[in-house]
Amino acid sequence: MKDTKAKSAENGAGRHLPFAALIWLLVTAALVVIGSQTVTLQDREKFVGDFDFTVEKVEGENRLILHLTAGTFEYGVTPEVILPVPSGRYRRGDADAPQVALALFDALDSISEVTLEPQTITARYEDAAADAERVRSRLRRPFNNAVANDRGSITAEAAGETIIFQTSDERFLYAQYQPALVPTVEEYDSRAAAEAGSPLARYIVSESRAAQTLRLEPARLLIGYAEGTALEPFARTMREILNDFHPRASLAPNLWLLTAQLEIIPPLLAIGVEPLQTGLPLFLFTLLMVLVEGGIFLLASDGKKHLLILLTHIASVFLLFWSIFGHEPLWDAILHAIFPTSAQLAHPQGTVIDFTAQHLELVLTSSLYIISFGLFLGIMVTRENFREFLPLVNNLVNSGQTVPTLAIVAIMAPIIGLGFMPALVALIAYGLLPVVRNTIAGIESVSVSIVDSARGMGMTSRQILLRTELPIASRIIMAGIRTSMVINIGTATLGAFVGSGGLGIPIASGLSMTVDAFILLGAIPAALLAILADYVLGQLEVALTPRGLLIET
Amino acid sequence: MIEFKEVIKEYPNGFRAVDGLTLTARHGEICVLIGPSGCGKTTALRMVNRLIDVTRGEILIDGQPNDEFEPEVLRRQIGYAIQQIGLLPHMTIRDNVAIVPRLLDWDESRIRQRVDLLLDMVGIDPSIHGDKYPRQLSGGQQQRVGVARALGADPPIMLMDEPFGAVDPITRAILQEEFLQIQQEVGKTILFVTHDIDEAIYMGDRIALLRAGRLVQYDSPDDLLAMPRDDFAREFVGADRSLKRLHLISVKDSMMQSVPCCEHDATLEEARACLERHHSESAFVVDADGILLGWVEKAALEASQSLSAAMQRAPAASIAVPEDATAREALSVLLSHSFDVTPVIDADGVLTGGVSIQRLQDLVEVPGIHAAGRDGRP
Ligand SMILES: Nc1ncnc2c1ncn2[C@@H]1O[C@H](COP(=O)(O)OP(=O)(O)OP(=O)(O)O)[C@@H](O)[C@H]1O
Ligand SMILES: [Mg+2]
Repeated sequence: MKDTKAKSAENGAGRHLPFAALIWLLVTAALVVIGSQTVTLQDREKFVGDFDFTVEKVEGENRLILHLTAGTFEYGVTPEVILPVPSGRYRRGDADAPQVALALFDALDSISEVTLEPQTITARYEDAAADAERVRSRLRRPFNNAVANDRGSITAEAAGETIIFQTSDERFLYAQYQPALVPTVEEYDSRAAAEAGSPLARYIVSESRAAQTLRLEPARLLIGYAEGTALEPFARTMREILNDFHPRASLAPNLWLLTAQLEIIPPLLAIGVEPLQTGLPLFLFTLLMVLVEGGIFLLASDGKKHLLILLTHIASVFLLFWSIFGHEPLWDAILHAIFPTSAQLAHPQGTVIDFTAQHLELVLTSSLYIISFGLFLGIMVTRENFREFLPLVNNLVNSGQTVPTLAIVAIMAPIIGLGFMPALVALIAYGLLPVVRNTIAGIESVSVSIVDSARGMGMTSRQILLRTELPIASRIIMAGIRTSMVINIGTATLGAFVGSGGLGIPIASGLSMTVDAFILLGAIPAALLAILADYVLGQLEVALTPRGLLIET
Repeated sequence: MIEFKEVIKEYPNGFRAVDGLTLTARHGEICVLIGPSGCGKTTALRMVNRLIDVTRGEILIDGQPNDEFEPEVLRRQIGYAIQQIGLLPHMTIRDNVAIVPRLLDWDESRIRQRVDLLLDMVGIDPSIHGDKYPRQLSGGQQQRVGVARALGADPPIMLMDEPFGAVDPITRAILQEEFLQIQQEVGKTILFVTHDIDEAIYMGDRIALLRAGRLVQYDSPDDLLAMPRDDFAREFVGADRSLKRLHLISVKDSMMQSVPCCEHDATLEEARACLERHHSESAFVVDADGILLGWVEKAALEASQSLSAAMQRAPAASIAVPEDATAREALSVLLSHSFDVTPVIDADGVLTGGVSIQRLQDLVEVPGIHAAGRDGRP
């Protein structure tokens, strides 16, 4: 009985490996399927510049040819077209309700009917008890996001159980972000023809008086221009206006790596994290992991490779997530699916992976100090000579966790100033408890008779610590580090309030600007990062626990 | 050799756990410290390798005060085994046994050899169990490993604090016997703490009986049983001390050479004459080589035509004891059969003598006559 139990404990790590290889295979398949899709990138601001043309002048003709040199983007354009809001009366659940009506239904559950007229939009809500003022203020922002008029002023007026929006413009307009153009060949031999043509043709002629004739091809635009037009400014204008189109991107992510290095942020040592983009498709990497992990499984029958196996696994899972953090088109697609009417999807200050890298800097740096202080304190107060400090240290680290982090941050800010440092100090104060507590608990868990026999055999205090107490306590200590780091990842988002950077930035600006998409842009990666850290550290915990301790008794 | 000289241990709370202990454990002998719980046995033991500091007095090891060594250096030269065993759970069995040799920087090949030798010696097959972890072994196996570990660097001195305390009585008896065999090979100077008087009698060359930190009596097991110094000692060794003494005496030392006995082809007259000569009601029957075949009773001889018809055959093992048995076993056989004498046979089954109740009484009557009691023991 004992023996079989022990065997299964030894092989436990080995046995899950074929599953790991299988999972990698499934991930690869999923990546290939996802990668075959292309999506329209919704947020123009961000993708400008990734989408470029070379310009060619046709000799002897007033004709300009723009060749697409899309990097990772496929040709295919989605102009933003400003269209009049169609008139009509729509009830909740109507399939053909236009976006404006949908936005209002979304914003307030009690709205049952929306009536659209050129200058007036009326929403009827069915809640006699509702305060008209509050209804109005709740609807104002979604409404403003849904309509595109920024010239005419919109006024909202609440009257009993209806709320009425009015515009001083001729009529309400809305912006349509749809792939309105497919890359087929279109030809227009006059401005008039183009004005009645496809949205892209309409857009080009509406933005440029000089444009006369058009021929649109999948990877080429040929634009005839008026006699006397200066070519250079014309080409620049064309490039600019065309960059305002939504490019399409493949959903296939590439592999991202990162560098982590020690940096000095005076007066402290910090860990700097830099994302590195590779051109390698991610599915090739996961396929490689099938081979690597499968290979290790087949070749590594002996237990010594146990640690190696787990470390590869940990690293590869981390890189998988990291690469997904780096894949902007995916975030764009996800957020667009959740918030179809949001005008902004990408944060102006950076991309997900930038924020995540900043976040990791904060978490890794604070963890570096937490682990070293925590171990030091925990070990110190369990030494014979310093035992009297145990209650003191316990109280100190406990109080560190009782004070709300935001309060610590707020107290630190006037003393240390804004930025990285106050956030770091708050995180360290907050994260110290689990490490110190578990270090103490782990060392105390080593039975007196074990320490006694170690001493009786002639081990020095130092040898007892390094060869007996720490190895036996390692699992409990690692659990403390894991708890601390996972909490830390969540807490670090608060750092944004003092300008430390990280995933708190999109959350904070999302809250203050009420752009829900931004909140998720910070919250989803932060949650994923916490789950990932928990998994990685959990595996590491098992890997670093001496095998003799994994045997159940 | 370990010498306690007027050793006093006073704990910081003023309690005197050891109070003027003077005691010498001679080279190569097992000195058992015994006494009621809390009498200071463990304290005395742990002062030897300086896990506890002596308050007054001194402890000499081979004539040298033990505080002249660095504590760690001293401890590496003294084997240490405790009831809780204290194997390091994160190390394999081999690594556990190798701890002290590694602390002493032996080279790995020598350590490997030594470890496997020791594991073999304590009855743990290193090829099967060597790479297992302590938690994968039974309590008894762990105790064995604990002993092997204490012997790790071949220390001349061993301290053992109830090393077999945590196992069931049967396993304990086996471990005790095996340990005595090992001791015959290695001849260590051993301080052995126990609170079990039977263990003390079985294991000890000499027994130090302690009470409240003071030495009550320090004697060989036989003398302690024969002549307890005071009421405390008498009570401690128990009312069955005579029986216990029999345990210390081997049959070989206590048997009579001459027992009523006749060969199986003897005539009825010869058999009767034999019984007459010994004033006995029964006689043992042997074959031409002297191998015990059974017995014959006087009444049966009267009624039968021949000796072979009158005799009762029985397997020797069921009616006789071997020469290396203890007197106590002979008594047990005596009580379960109707003979006056328990026959004694050698390894070949040859009848070599016998033990009578009278003989056993004589043995325990004379106090302390078997001071060298352990000679005949395994
Ligand atoms: N650190 C200490 N401080 C004060 N008193 C102690 C300390 N350690 C032990 N004692 C006391 O010293 C006495 C002797 O303890 P010791 O452990 O030597 O007993 P023992 O003979 O080994 O008993 P047992 O058979 O129960 O193991 C006990 O009364 C105990 O309460
Ligand atoms: Mg004790």
